[in-house]
Amino acid sequence: MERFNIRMAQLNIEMNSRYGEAKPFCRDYLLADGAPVDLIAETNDLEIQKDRAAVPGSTMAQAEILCLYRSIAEQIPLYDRAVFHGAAISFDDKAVLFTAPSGTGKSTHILQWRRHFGDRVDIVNGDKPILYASPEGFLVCSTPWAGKECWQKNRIVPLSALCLLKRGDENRCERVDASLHVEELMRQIYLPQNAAACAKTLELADKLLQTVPLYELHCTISPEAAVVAKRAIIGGSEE
Amino acid sequence: MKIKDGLIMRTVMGKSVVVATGEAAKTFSGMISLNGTATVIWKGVEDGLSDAEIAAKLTEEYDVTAEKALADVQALIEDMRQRGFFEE
Repeated sequence: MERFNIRMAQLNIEMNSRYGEAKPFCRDYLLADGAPVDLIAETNDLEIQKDRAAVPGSTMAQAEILCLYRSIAEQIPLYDRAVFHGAAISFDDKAVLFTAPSGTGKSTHILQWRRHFGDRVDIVNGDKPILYASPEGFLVCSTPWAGKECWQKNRIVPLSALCLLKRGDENRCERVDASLHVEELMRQIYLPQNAAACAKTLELADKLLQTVPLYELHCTISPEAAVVAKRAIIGGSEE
Repeated sequence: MKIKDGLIMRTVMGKSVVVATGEAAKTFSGMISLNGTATVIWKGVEDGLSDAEIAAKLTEEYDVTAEKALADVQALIEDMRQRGFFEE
């Protein structure tokens, strides 16, 4: 058993791993031994085997990495945080979180922002960031769990908007009423099996949708999509 | 009649949603949304009210006859029973 600490989403987390790949996976988030920890991430072979069976061709080490994140996701709502399925970018240090079912084109879209706006855009996390309802407002926190492209940068950025991403025949982005998209958004938040943590997650989701503006982007795969989305969400006229 | 402990109801942006956790998730997974009537009935059951008492609450909040309200309450409770939402 290997034990090491990471710091992520402003929490110190003790990681317990048997299969050796978790520590290099978390290399950008390692914390010196001896620091006080807020929570402990652990799993067991039964859980790991179940996860491995769900992903053909995966190894025990890869499945363990996912199980460890689930262990964290189960606990963090009690610390006002939740794991969210989406791709987060920062533009001039303000985060926009794009969400959509897997395969819709989140990665393609955020790459267009990066290509078009260059260094003003950072990819904070391409797949599973943590949202933290801090006393100053919602923060997007990167994590090592960043999807198959592994796009992530160890940063924490204030969240300025959520955006539902949909494929369309033209590029169109507008602010929408979050109360009409509750189920769609709830499918993208990790809902813990622990009752108290799940209840807390639903309360965090309510706070998130009450306080952070929601946009809907219909987009093509053309580079213009990033310009249209940026104009609607961030404002400004530069292209 | 008691709703299983693992079934969590909360209001998100004015919509009532129910999620199953722990043991309750073995018979029901995912999330359901409740409309206004179903929310009143769910809360009534949680508070241990009788069918008639819940129906009375519905007639206070909605333009519905006592008979129709009682029928709605009984239909939803039966639906909840079939979904395994109550403790055995």
